[in-house]
Parts: sequence; structure tokens; C-alpha cells
Amino acid sequence: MKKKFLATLTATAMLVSMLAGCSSGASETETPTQITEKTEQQTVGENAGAAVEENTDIEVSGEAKKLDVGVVIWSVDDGGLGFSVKKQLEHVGEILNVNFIFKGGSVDAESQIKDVENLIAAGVDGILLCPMVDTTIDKFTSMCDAAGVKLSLMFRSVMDEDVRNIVLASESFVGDVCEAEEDAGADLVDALVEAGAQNLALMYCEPGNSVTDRRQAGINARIEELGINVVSTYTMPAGTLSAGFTEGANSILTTYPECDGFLLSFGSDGGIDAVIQLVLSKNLLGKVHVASFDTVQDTKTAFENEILVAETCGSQADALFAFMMLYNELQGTPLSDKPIELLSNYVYVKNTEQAAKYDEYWSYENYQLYSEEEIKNMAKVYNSDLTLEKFKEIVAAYGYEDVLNRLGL
Amino acid sequence: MNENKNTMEVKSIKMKEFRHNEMIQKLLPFLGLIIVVTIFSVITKGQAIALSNITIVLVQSCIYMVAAMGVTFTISQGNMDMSLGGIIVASCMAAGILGESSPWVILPICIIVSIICELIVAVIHIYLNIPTIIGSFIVMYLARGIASTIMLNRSANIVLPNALKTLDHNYFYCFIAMMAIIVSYILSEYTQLGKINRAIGANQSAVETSGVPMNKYKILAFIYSGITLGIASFMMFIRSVGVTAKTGMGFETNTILILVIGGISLTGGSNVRVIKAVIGCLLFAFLDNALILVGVNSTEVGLIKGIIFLAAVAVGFDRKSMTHIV
Amino acid sequence: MKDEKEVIVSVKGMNKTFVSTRAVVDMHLEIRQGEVRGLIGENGSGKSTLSSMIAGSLNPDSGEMWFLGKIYSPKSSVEGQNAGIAMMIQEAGTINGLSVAENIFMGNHGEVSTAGFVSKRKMINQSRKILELIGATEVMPEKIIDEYSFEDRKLIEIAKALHGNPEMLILDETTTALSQRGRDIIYKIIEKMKTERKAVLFISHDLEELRKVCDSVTIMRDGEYVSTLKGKDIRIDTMRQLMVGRELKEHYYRTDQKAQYGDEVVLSVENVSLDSRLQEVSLELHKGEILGIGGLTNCGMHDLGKVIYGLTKPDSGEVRAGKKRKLIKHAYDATACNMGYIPKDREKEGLMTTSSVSDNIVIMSYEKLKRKMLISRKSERGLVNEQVKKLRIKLASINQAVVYLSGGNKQKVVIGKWTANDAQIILMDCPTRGIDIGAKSAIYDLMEEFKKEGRSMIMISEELSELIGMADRVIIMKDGRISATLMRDEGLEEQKLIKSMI
Repeated sequence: MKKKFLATLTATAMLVSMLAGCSSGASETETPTQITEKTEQQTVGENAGAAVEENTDIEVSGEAKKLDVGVVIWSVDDGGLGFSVKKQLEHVGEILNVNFIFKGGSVDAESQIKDVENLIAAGVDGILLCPMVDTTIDKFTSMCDAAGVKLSLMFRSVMDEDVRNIVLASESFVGDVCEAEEDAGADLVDALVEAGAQNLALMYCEPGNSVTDRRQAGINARIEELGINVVSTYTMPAGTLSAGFTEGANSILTTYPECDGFLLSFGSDGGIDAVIQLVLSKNLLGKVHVASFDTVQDTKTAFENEILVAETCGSQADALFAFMMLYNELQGTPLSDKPIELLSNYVYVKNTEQAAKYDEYWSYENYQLYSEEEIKNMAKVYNSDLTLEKFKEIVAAYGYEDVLNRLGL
Repeated sequence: MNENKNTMEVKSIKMKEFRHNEMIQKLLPFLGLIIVVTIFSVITKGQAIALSNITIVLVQSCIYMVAAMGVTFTISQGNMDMSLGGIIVASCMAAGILGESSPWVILPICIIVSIICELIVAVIHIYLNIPTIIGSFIVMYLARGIASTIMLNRSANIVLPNALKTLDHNYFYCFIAMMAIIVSYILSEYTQLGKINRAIGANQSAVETSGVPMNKYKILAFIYSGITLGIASFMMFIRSVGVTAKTGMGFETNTILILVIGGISLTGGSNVRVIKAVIGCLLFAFLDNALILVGVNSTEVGLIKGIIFLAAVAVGFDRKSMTHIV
Repeated sequence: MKDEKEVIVSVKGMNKTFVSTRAVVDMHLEIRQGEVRGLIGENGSGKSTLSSMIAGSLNPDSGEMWFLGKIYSPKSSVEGQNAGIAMMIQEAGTINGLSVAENIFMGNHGEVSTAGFVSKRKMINQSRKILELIGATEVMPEKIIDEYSFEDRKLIEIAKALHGNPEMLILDETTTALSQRGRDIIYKIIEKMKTERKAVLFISHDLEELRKVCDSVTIMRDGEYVSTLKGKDIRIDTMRQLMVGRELKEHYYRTDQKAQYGDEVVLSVENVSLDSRLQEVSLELHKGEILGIGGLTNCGMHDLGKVIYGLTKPDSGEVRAGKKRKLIKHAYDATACNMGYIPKDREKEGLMTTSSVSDNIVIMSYEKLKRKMLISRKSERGLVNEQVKKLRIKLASINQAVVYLSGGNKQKVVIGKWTANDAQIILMDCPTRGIDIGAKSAIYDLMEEFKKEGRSMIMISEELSELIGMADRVIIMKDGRISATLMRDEGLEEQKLIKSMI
């Protein structure tokens, strides 16, 4: 029995070390080859501006240091946004010689605090994090301040006044990138109006979630601006499953038969599909349209029947931008002395053609929203001409057209 | 005489076997901890046992430690309590809202709400005869549901009052955890609360037939669990600097994992010991930390935790099956 | 000249060791046609191991077996059965959820199938015939077996064993849990096997039964062959002595014939009724008295024990204990009045088998040991060792799990629970069931000691001999009522008792 226990543990240890070897990427022995690689990259790529030191020093060779960055996100294997962020960053990591340690699964403050503590203990140079709780952010920055680690936030910005003041003043805070939720909300309203909708039903999330709150604020503002009629505002809890969406949409259509447009502030996991199915089943093609945040699962049905007029996606670029800010800071060539707060664009998918293109180019096999060259362009160590303004331009330009143009399609 | 020699031989062999087994049983949990720590120290080239890292691990284990101390008593009975996370969020929420006027009520409210919730679980079990695992799930969903609803309907977040922010310190957490361990150890080993609850887990019928007021001790165990959970909620509130709908998510599942890798049988009984829960907590916190140090990715972490869980169950199971009637 | 009956089964040099325990050592046995052989021995003597090896459910380490003149080495009990040896064990061998007929033909569906499909009608008809054959006529083959009592299920098991017409039947403690009716059915079957010149190997603790039923009895001790008694030589005291291997004390039960007890009433039961199980039962227990309660299995005496101890609430009536005549409503009331209860099912209700001897003995006495809320290990140990000494419990260590002790010692641990708590009134339900001679004797000695110490006992038992041997008064119950009360002075005879029971 003792033997069994020891055997199992030895097996576990072997398994762990094997996995550690695989996932850690570069180890000490690999470094010499990487140095030669780096030198090659620098001469081959644009702007080999920085002087290349032909030394074989393992620690720091030339300009671009090898970095360890921790990534704290709600999930890395959700098959959706979290997963695409991981794939994308790994791709970038290969290009820029960054070793990522991903920590997913934490949804509450205490777990994220643990994650940051552990990553700091693991010796990361910087942390890219999506905070689940707004008011813990100043704790993260103080922990990073103490450890000399830099912090960049993705998918969120700091909302709370008091926390903001503390965070902006901290050493470690590089900045944050967050979706332009309000603007996107307005865009979705426009899309519905364009499709001819005049009596909208709004399917909202319960207040308290900073992301949907801002989306809803943007939608409401635009609606007021345009003076559109809203037949009903239906509020649902954050974790509502598709059945809840069906129920809600059904009661709206029954009570307000004049309703001709649904605007959803959230709807992954089949929520949007549920509403679309309902429209189909009630034979309201052409009469009722849907626009939504998040993505449908069944793009064929949604777009071929021309029910869905717009959905928001492509936000994985947010993580990329947030990371590039962090990268520049960590390489000793910050984009700015002050914290950078940016808004990032969604990609809108509005029809079958776009849906097909989106699936192809934004899918996880092909995370090349930016080419190797373009990524290096976002790093001062490779592109000494880069300024904060230019970076902001790149971020502002991101969108459906932008990606396709750059990929030459 | 021939017969006597055979009997004596058999008896002395039986005694040696028995002493051998007793020793293994006592050492096994410690062995587990030592082996895992050693393995990871080697893999991380000593990083895992650096003083700064050990401090981090100890502090991270404190909240689970305090809660696990109480759960030890209910698990002794063989009752698996799956309500923990829900109770934590409910207690923190109640305390946070009521504490806006006066921060001093926060700790008492945490404890009171936790005790009330645990008593509900106890009552469902004792008087409705519903197994605790189901009853506690119900309480968990209810507690979390009510808490979430209330919080979402508020405009502002529930934040920790500044007066209590000074408590967010390593010494605070470790001190409370230490106190919890000592008190629980004494209660478990030297008073009826511990002994009778273990007896209930070993054989409830026998306890009843022995004329022991069983329900009294069951309820006491749940109350104690409520107290420790209340304190753990307080610690959680301070460390998270606030409470949200997601606070304490998954706490109960992690606690089960902690108990199992500490070597505690989920059916309760005589082998449930406070020291095993302590080891389980330390192992759990250490694993979380060490796996990040090593650089293992999230997905594989789940796999490894699963393997270790399996190993712990396999070893634990062996002991139980040895007591099959000859 | 000897009647040259054919040898049906013969085994030689049988050995079996479990880990470090030598269960069977160089054992030999020969059974002839038409012979009913008893096999006895204390717990751990190896009799069950030997019979399992013969039946095929256990593989011997070494040895030779012959069956019907041919070498016989079954790899499993199914092979044994197919060869013609059927074995019945003590525990339940039937499967819940299936019908009686399905249980009987379990594994032998071929016999009742036509073209691969099981004919339900055939199965039921055949089952009915078999059941009639063994005299279990009230059992309906189409009913689900769950509806039948333990006893009826045993009979169904026998039907299953017999329908293949085995040459040899092994009964391993099958009669222990059966009522007289069940036992009679078994005796009839044994008779039939005899007349058909088949063999029966009969294992039981009931020496009386063996004496009546068997032609010869083989005694085993510590895994080895001791002796075989034939015919008139089969005497109870001889058997006992050979089993234990040493001179037993002169007496086993009480030697005195007087009913002796004080006047003080320590426990009174007044008009207790419990649905159909108990009707208006009243009795009184006196100080220092051993009150026996006997009857058929379902006469209600076991339920009465539970009611007296407060484990079951009666529909009407009261139980009062002690000088202050405290009303007993719950088990802890009973305990508070210094009452103790030794349940019939000691494994399930009396002991925490995975806990240590110490934990079991001390469980009632925490109040006593408490000093300012804390209980010191030392005081626990002291109390436990006291009981171990007093009751002469054989164990390796008080921290040993109870499950490792032998049946008799386990029972002593249950008793120890109550002596530790100074119980003055002890309720025992089948105290010596399934325990071997040596341990039984020890328990009877204890009872006499308790009596001398002034403790009062109620002994509920299905074993007439021990009621006759130990009780001051015997109450016989029938159908939930008290049908007779007999005093020791007047001479307790088996006939008298049995008459009141039926």
C-alpha cells in the first residue's frame, strides 16, 4: 500500500516535470540557439535599428530581452474568447520571445489575488490581467509595486473613482485596454435602424456588471438621440441560459406584436440563437431583426435568413494591445510615462460573407490579426520610430476592414 | 502443545501486522506532504521552498484552513457539506451591507449568518431526513442566489470599510488560522464533540443504541462549522477588499479536495483527524502555487490535481477495505 | 461386518493459509453414502474454510480431493455445483428485485428455455414443483423475492441448491438464523438425502441439533483434525471439550436451581402495545434477577427489547425504570437510568466496527470522564483497561479496530460499553448468538458475576438451553403476548417452554 502511494506520486512527479518541460518553452539550454535566432530576426526584420551585440551572454542579449509574463484571465479553455486570447498571445510570444504563464479559472477576487501572488513568486516580469472585480485593482497594483512587476489590464478599465486615483498613481500600472462598449452599443442601434426597425425590444443584463452596464448606457444614449420607440426593456440575470432568452423574447412578441427589432446586450452560450430560433419559428422573417453583443453559435441560420443584422466579435485584439503596452514597458522603452488607457474596437459581422471571413481569419488556427512585421512594429525595440500616437492609431484602426486590408484580402 | 504453538504464532504475527498498519496510517498524510514538497523543490530548483514563497503559500492556505477546521466535525459524521461557498458570500454580503454604518458589526454578522445557514442545513438533515449533501446544495444555491440578487440590485459595490483594511496583513491571517487549529484540535481530540461525531460517522445505529443524544452532537458540530465558516468569511472579505456575487465560488469543491488529499474519508468515522485537514490545506495551497512556479498551464493543472486526487482516494480506500469482516 | 457404503467424498492433506494465518492444516475427511456428517469447531477452527474448499468456492494451497471415486478439483463453486456438490451459507444468497422463480433458476436458464427463449411458464411451474418437494408450499414462484422474509428466502435458496439433484449438500451454519419451522424443513431435506444415499455435511454451533440430526460429527480445532464421534458417542460435553481442547469447568450454565432475586422492582413494563407486534405486555424486573424472555422468532420479544430501551416508541403503555420510576421515552433516558442494551445485531447496531476497542467502550462514559469539558487520554485508557481486565477481552491493543476481534470478544466489547458506564440493568438480545463455546461460557460466567454484584438482567434468547440454564424466571411470548411465566424453582423443562411457544 505504501508502495502504491509512492508509485503514484512518482508517476505524478514525472508527469509534472514532463509537462513543465513542454509548457515552459525556452529553458536554459535552449538559450544559446535563441540568441543566434534573435540576431537573425533583427537583421532580417525591418528596422534592425538597435545595435546588435554579438555576445553570448545568456541573460540579456542586445535590445530585446527574453521576458516572462503572467496572464490572468477568466478561462483559457472556454472554446471562445479566453481560448483565442491564449492562442494569439502564444503566437506573439514566439515572435517576441516571451514566455507566457497562463492562469485561468479564477472568477472571484480572492482567487485572482492568489494568482497574482503566485505569479509574482514565480518571478514574472509583468502581468497581463483581466480583473473580475473592479475594487481589487488597487490591491493588484500595490502588490506589483512592491515586487517591481508591471501590470497591464485587458478587457476592463478602472471604474471606481477612489480606486482609479490610487491605481493611476502607482508605479506598476502600465495601462488598460477596454472595448468601446458605449460606441458599439450605438453602432448596433444604427444597424437595426438601417434594417428598418422602429419599435425596439431591449434584452438587457441585470445592473452591476460593468461591461453590460456600459453597453446598455451606450444603447440608451443612442436611442434617446434618435428618438426611437422602445416597446420593452427586459432584464435578465447574468447567467441566463438560452431558455431564459426564449421565454423573454416570446413574452415580448406576444405582448407587443408591433415589435420589429431585438437588441441584446449579451448573449453567448446560445442566447442570441434562441431569439433567432424564436423569430424563425414564429415566421417573422423580414419583419423582425436582431442585433447583439457577443456571438451566435449558428451563423448560418442567423445570417442566411437575414435575421441577425450585426453582432460584435473580434475583441481578442484587446488583449494583444494591452500586452504590447506591457511589452514596451518591460523592454525599458515605454510608450508613455503615464498610464495609457485605450478603447479598442469590436469587429462587426453583419452578413454571411463577413461571417465566413470572420470564421476563417479570426479563428484560432490563424491568429495572425497582425503579421510578424506588424507586431514588431508595435514594439519600440524593433521600431524606434514608434510613438504613443502611432500606437493609438493602430489601435483605433482595428476593425473588420482593417484586418482584411492588411492581410491583403 | 502443537495447537498452542500454532495459535501463539498466529497471534504474534497478527500483532506485528497490526502495529505496522497503525504506524503507516498515522504517517501517511505527512508522507504525502513531504514527498510532494520535495518533488517540487527539486523541479523548481529550490524556488518553491524559498522563505518568501513559503510565506505566500501559508497565507493563501489560511482561509481554507479556518473553514476546514469546522468542516472536519461535520465530515466526521459522514456529512458532506456543500454549502460553504454560498454561505460565505451570503455572510460577507450581509456583513458588508450592515457594516456600512459600523465596521465593528462585520465579524459578528459574518458568524451569525453562517451559523444560521449551517443550522438550516442541519435541520434539513435531521428533521427532514434529507442527506446533507443534497440539503447543503440547496442551501448553497439559495444563499448564493439571494446574495447575488441583493447585490445586483444595489448601485454601489460592497467594499471593505477602511477601518478594517489594516487587518489585511499576513500576521492576521496566520494568527487566526493558528488559533482555529489549536481550538479545533482540542475540541476534536479531547471533548465529546469530536469523539461522538466520529462515532456517528463510524456507525450511527450503534451510537443511537448506546443511548447517546445523537442529534444534540450533530447540531453542535454544525454550529461549530458555522462559527469557523463565519470567521473564514470575515477573512475572505478582508482579503478580497469587498464582496461580489462571485465571492467564494467553488469553495466547497476545493474543500472536498482538501479533505481527500489530507487523507480524510468522506464517509467520516474514527479516522477523521484535524491534523489531516491541516495537511490537506497546506498541500492544496502548495500545489496551486508550485504548479504556477513550474509554469504548468491551467488546463494541465486540472489534470494534475485530478491525478493527485485519485492517488489520495486510492490510498485512502485501501485502508477502509482492510477492515472488512474476516 | 461393516456396511460397505460407497465413499462419496474424500479429502486428504488439505492446507490453506491466508496471509499469515494458517486456516486449515493437513486436514482429512471422508464421508460415505447416506451419511449425515456434522462438522464443528470454535470460531477460527477452519470448518468454513474446509467446506468452502470442498464446494469449490475457495482453492486449496495443497491437498487432494476425490468425489464419487474420481479426482476432484473444482476451480469455482459453479464447477462444484455442476459436479454435484451444493453449498448453503449463513448469509443471504438470493438476489433482490427478481422473482422467486428467477432466483431459483439463476444461472440455469437453459433448463427452462425453448429455442433460446426463457419460458416463464416453465420456470414458474418447475419452481412450484421444487418448492412443494421441500415443503415450502406457501411460497409463490411468481412473486418478487423481496416480499419474503429472511427465512423464506433461505428456503428458496435451498430449493435452488437442490433442484440440480446434488450428490452432496453442505450446510454452513444455515440453521442459525432460522425458526423451528425452517429448521424442520431442513431436517426433512436431510432425511431425504439420507434415504437417497446421498451425503450431507452439516456445520452448526447448535450442539443439540447436531446430536439429533447427525450420524457422526467431526471436530476441528485451529485448522486441524481432532476426532470424529459416531452414533452414541456424540455427546454434548464431549463435543465441547474436544472443541475447546481443555477441561471445561464443571459447569457451563448456572448450577443452582433456585430463583433468587431481591424484592425491589428495578424496571416495570406496563401494558405496552406496538401495532401488531406487541399486545398489552406487562412485566417486572427485580434487582439481581436474570429474567429470560423466549419464544419463536416473530413472537415480539425482540421488539419488546427495543421498546424497553426506548429505541422504539410504543403505541400505548409505559416503561419505567429505577427507584424514581422514570419514564423511558428515548434511549438516552434509559442510559440515564443506568440501563444498558446489547442488540441482537451486534455488528450493525452494537459496535462501530472500524473504530478502536477503546472508542467503542468509552462512548457512553464521556460524562463520567469529563474534567472541565476535557477528557484526558489517560483517564480513557484507565477506564478501558479496567473493562478489558474485568471481562477478560482478548486483544492485541485497545487501539485495535474492533473488527479484528473474534465474535465472542466483540460481544464482550459491547458489554464493556455498559460496564464502563456502570449499568445496573442490562438488556441482552441473543447475547451468545454465533459465538463459540469458550466465549459463551465466559459470558455466562459474567452473567453470574453481574448477578452477584446486584445487577439485573433481561435475557432475550431463541436458544432454549441457555434460558433454561441461566434464568431465574422465564417469560414465554407468543404472537405479541406473554403466554407463560415459569420459575426456576419449579424446574424449567424444554417441553414446558416449547408448549407455551407454539
